[in-house]
Amino acid sequence: MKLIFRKSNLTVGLALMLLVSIILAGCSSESASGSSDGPFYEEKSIELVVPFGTGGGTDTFARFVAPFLNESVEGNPSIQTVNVPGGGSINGANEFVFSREHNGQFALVTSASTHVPYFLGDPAVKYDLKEMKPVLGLPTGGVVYVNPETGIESPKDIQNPKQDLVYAGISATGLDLVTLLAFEVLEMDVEAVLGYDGRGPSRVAFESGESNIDYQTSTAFLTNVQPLVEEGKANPLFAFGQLDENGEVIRDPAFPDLPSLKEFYVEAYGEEPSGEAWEAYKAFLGSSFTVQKVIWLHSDAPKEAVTALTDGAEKIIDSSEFMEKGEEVLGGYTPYVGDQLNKVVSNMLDTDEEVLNWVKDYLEKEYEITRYQ
Amino acid sequence: MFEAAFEALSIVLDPGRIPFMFLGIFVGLLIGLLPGLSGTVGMAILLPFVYGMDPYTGMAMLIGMAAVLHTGDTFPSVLIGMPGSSGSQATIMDGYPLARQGQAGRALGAAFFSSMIGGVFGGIVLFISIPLARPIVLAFGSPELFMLSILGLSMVGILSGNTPIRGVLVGMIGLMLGSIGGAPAVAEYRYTFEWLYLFNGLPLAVVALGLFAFPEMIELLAKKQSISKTAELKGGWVHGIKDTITHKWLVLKGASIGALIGFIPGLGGSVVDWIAYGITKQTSKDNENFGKGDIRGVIGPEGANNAKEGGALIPTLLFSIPGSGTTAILLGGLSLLGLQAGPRMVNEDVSITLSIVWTLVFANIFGAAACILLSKYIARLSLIPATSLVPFLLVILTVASYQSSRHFGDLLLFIGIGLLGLVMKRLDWPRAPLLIGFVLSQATERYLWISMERFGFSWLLHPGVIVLAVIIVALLAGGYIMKRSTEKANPA
Repeated sequence: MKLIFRKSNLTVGLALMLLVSIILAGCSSESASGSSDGPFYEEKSIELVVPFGTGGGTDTFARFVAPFLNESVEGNPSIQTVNVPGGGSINGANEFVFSREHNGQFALVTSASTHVPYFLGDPAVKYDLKEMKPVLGLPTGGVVYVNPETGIESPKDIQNPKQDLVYAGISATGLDLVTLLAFEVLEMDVEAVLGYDGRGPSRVAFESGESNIDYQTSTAFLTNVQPLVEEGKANPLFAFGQLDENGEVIRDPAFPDLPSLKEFYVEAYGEEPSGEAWEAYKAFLGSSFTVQKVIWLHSDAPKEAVTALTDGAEKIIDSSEFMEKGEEVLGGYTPYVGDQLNKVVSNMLDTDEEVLNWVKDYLEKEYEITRYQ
Repeated sequence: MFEAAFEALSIVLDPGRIPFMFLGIFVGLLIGLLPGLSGTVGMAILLPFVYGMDPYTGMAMLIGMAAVLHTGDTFPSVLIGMPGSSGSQATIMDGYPLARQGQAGRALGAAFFSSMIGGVFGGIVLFISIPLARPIVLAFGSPELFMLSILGLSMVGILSGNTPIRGVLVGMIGLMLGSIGGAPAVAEYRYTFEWLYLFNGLPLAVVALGLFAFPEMIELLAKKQSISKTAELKGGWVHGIKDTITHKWLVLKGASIGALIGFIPGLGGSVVDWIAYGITKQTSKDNENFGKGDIRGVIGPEGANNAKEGGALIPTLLFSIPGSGTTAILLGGLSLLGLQAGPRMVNEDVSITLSIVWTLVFANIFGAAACILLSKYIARLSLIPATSLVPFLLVILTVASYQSSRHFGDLLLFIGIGLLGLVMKRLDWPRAPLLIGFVLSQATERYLWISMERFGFSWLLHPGVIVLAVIIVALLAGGYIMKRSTEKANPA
């Protein structure tokens, strides 16, 4: 009996030790101080705060970039990815600002889900993107497509579909906002059914006929919708496009053969789009797609840290290994760095107050969302 | 197809890859063994190592982990009455009473053997369904998914023994707890009081641990005894395996339920074992012993929860829809390995999918064998006096709860739900319905909302909806009639 007792205790004890070491390995974030004359990051580490759970798009992006940062940033800092999920990424971003030292050893990885509530003025948002310094930005795109049974083949058909248009979305305040604003710009009559569990389920809804107009982001479109297009079960209409450095909508580099929403509009109505919906579309296209994922430092981080990381990011983009290995993670887009990044980010941050107010009113009127008023 | 399958077999058995599969199996068993840690934790631990591996090796490691998780998590469920992971709660219902009667070895043997059969079955289902998966997944629209949630909720009555009214009430409390946090369809937050911790809703692991583990610890301490009331352990694992062979159809029934529900995206894996348990109980003769230590109550859900993993990989790989937290991280792993889930997985990348099938089969066999060998030693846990065991458990459980979102709210919630669980246990209110309501709350609301928005009331006439409604009514009525007839037969 006594022997048994010891053995079992040993098992539990071993298990406990392993558990503790696992947890510690997950949480550890050493902050060693380096000497002042060498490179800033010599013998230092960088913690990448990911405000999402493990395995999501942003987490995957961060984990993919981490070893390249380690190689390219002067001083070869060790990079740790730390997930702080919760509150749809608001939690982690708040934590980055208020409980991480502004010493250049902590960086935040955001995505559109972090940017949109900031612009809409969500009461839970305590971070200010203007108080952060971008180092690397990754664009993505999206394509809107319809079921051929709707009879929509060209831009001229959008006003007279053969079926009522139904869109399956997740939430009016996520990436879907851009799609909904695109419908608004095109003055299309689309019934949006929101509440789906993700873009995967909404695509299944399209395939099973629950919806007949849908969008997918670039990578998902290429792997999952392109086969449908080839089978004649889906018709691509337009790509959202990208915002260039001057804030104009240009063609999506991943879909050079598809018109951007702007070109699509011109073909449908014979004039350039304008008005509040169009301005709002551009604003949210920028924050949701053109810079969909951004790695930031605190803006008051040491200058040397900012320079070292910025230079490192530029080096990464030039490495062919990065682009080759990252085909799936980057979706074929080249990340923004340096001046170009600063321009697109400041375009995004300079969104007109009036445009934002129009969007808030639009959300209240169309979707009864009063959270941002 | 078969040629490709054998080619994949040789890829999986490459000596350079086998160690990684075993590493995955080891982590999976360990995570399962520690109460409260679920597959998401295991995935999160292994994911950083995946980068730079070739896809077959990386998948062998990740799938090896996921495959055996629900084998290892049986230990805490049976031995200490605490969920080993979110997928192993139903085993508690009968496994724990068996352990208290000193039959832990038997319960474990039966559980592992049915897990093994279920897991291999799941792998075979994944293999067979590669060409059929598309139409089947597409047949389940939102109205059908809503009816499946209702099927899950109808288990509430079955699981509350002689007090169905209490069960329904508790189930409703579960539904309400599940509605805390962001609403599924509109940008509104409910009962969050602007506290960010609550925005994502209550974490399942904390609720499950609080509800089942906390009260058990207190009771053990209060009674100052070991879990097993008898000092000797009767009935070894051989007995358990014999039990499983006697009830072979039950294993297959559980495994089919597991694979099918895992297969259908949108319901979430955590409810599979409850549905399997409910149906097992409802379709068994002389079922009044369920909940008091009937070996069949172990075999059914254990067959289901391993088979589920094979089923759940279908929507994950083919549609990139994760069926559970574990598969959600698996998707991230895929893209780190340079792959993208989608139709490609059954065309160009079919060798990867087939290697996953083989890994599932091997990992389940090895995992269960390892557990059976270890069970003799680990079963003795139930002989340790509470005053020595509980402090260890308390530390593990606290860490496991805190692991959910690494926020102090986890600890508060663990104690809060734990006290609720204690009161319910003392007053003899059923606790399982609360968990079922909680798990299904989001899915039920989401799919009802979408069905109404999209179809008005016409969804009620969809053929799939009618078929599921008939099944639900048959299960409920069948149970009632069967109970009446046994009562007539044995007028007590």
